[in-house]
Amino acid sequence: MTQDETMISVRNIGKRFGSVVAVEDACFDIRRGEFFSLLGASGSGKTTVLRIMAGFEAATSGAIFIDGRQMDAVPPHQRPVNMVFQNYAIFPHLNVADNIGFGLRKLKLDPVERRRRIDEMLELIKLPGFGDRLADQLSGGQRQRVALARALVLQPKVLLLDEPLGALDKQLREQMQVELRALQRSIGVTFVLVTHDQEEALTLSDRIAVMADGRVLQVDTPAGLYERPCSRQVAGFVGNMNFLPARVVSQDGGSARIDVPGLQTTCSISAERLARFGSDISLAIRPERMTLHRERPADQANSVSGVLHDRMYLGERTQFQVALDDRGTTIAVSSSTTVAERLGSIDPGAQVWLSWSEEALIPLGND
Amino acid sequence: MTVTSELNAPAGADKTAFAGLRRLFFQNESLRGLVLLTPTLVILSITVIVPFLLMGAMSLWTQIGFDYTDDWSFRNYGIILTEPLYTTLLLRSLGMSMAATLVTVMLAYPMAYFLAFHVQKNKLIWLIIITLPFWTSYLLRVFAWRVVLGYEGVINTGLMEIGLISEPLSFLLYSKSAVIITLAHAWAAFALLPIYVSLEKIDKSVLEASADLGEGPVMRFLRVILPLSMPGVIAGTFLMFIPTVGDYVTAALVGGPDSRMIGNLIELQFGTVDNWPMGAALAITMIISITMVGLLFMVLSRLLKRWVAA
Repeated sequence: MTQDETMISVRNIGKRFGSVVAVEDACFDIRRGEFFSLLGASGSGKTTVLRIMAGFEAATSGAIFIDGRQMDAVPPHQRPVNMVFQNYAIFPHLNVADNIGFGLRKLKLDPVERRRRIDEMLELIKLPGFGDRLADQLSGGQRQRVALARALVLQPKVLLLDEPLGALDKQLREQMQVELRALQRSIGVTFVLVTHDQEEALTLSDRIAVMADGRVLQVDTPAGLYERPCSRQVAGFVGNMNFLPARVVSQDGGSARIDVPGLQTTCSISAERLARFGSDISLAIRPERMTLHRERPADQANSVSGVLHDRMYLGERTQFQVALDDRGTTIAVSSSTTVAERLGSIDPGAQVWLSWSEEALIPLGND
Repeated sequence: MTVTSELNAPAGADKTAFAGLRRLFFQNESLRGLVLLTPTLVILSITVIVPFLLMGAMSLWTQIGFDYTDDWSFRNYGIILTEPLYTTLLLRSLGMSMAATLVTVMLAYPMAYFLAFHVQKNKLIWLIIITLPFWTSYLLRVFAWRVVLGYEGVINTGLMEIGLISEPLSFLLYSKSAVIITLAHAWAAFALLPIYVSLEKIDKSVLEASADLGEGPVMRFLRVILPLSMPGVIAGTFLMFIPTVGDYVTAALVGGPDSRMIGNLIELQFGTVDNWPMGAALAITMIISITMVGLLFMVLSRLLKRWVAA
């Protein structure tokens, strides 16, 4: 990545609150015009990283660069970033127009130009004519839009969003996700989103940094995180995942044989994917990468029999819980409901077979 | 058996009547409100509204010798408006009260700000310390200032001790400034507490938002903190201004001839001079003046708030 493509550079950022380590050695780059998400459970340090970017917290160690300029000594009001706060932080004493126009004072615009920019923003957030309303006359979704407009009117290099959709109900949240994505595409500003909702992060982002316990676990595209998680923690956090204990039995040049007792099979995996782990590993497989059969499939190598435990109808998908023959390991299998219907009704307790392709098996360390 | 049932019958009827009232009370919101307000309304009308009306009526009488004429006239008000002594005293009272209020609010605001934004632990202890002077009698506090400001008081002897002055400063006590200082100290908590409450209520993320939107500390204060704490400032100002205009103990104890206030005059009318109608007219005039100044202040602060925030 060249310097020109990087908008934010987080270099070994650490943050302690007393004896509590909030962020430890965070290190990643955010590209210009990218929709970047910090994903993690509460207490993972994601909000702290965002607040360090905004300048509300000072990093205990490390440095942060925005558009090539070191930011550590720059106070929040002089940084080229703007933020959408979790509770929106709309000024209660000002109407919508003055909220949006709050940051324009420094530009010393004439009233006509100021008005024009505010109206332009009201148009953009689809609230034209709302200029005279007070904050307490707005719904949650409308406040969220005003907070967005207030930050975007200043044409920041980076827009920071702290769980902006967390307080909205599901319907509105999904609608705002679409709008947020379209908005980011059309204006091309770099967005940094903090969220605990992995679905939201996958839907919106170009790239995601997964955080847990103050550490950045993996930075990748949504597909990359989903298909090639680098650890059990990431794999478990993003989407659903089955984990099975496995053992490396032999290694031969480029590929290694792995014994998976749960699946009563051995498989080969390229050795470089195993490089970091020992001989005891985990194999992960997504529920939708497994296929459920009523009869024994033809390819016997990559199949295993089990007993259907439970069947859950989830709308467009149907999920099966299958107890494998050994030691009661239970595997989740998910298929689209149309495919599941073709199987006909299978009662719990019936014998079924599972099959998979070898590429679907993800070797992971046992951490 | 029959006797018992006869005895029980009326009690049962009472019970249902009570239950009916009970239901009415809990179902009817406005009735409930009225019932809850009744004690306050009764006390207020007996102790405030009735005396106020009596005083208004009395102010329209005229004192002749030891007797009143009870023909209604605005004669007393005419005298108050034309006689320079009365207008001077009234204006002086308003001015001194305003000065004391201004001093107090200006001093109380930083204290309230510190309490609201910088004290993390033991806020209660700080609040108790601030309200501590209220645990002693008002007269005691006024006398304490005589000890501090007096000719051989703490300040004078202290300054002479360190050689800054050679003879005691005589303007400290029995002057307007002595009255203003004493009033400011005595009423400080009344101004401080409302300001503290309104500052405490401000959502901290709103302050971060204003920093994020490019405003430095000074403009953050002027555009966000000050307008949002304005209700507290207005409440504190009124709580202090209204009672101090009519105060007469302070002016009598630490004030000089140039710092007599309207309260002293009213007290004279009801006491030594024994002209109750004139005292009543003065009191009514004072109330009207305070109301007018208050309204003016509210309009001004609203304009100021709008101008500063935008």
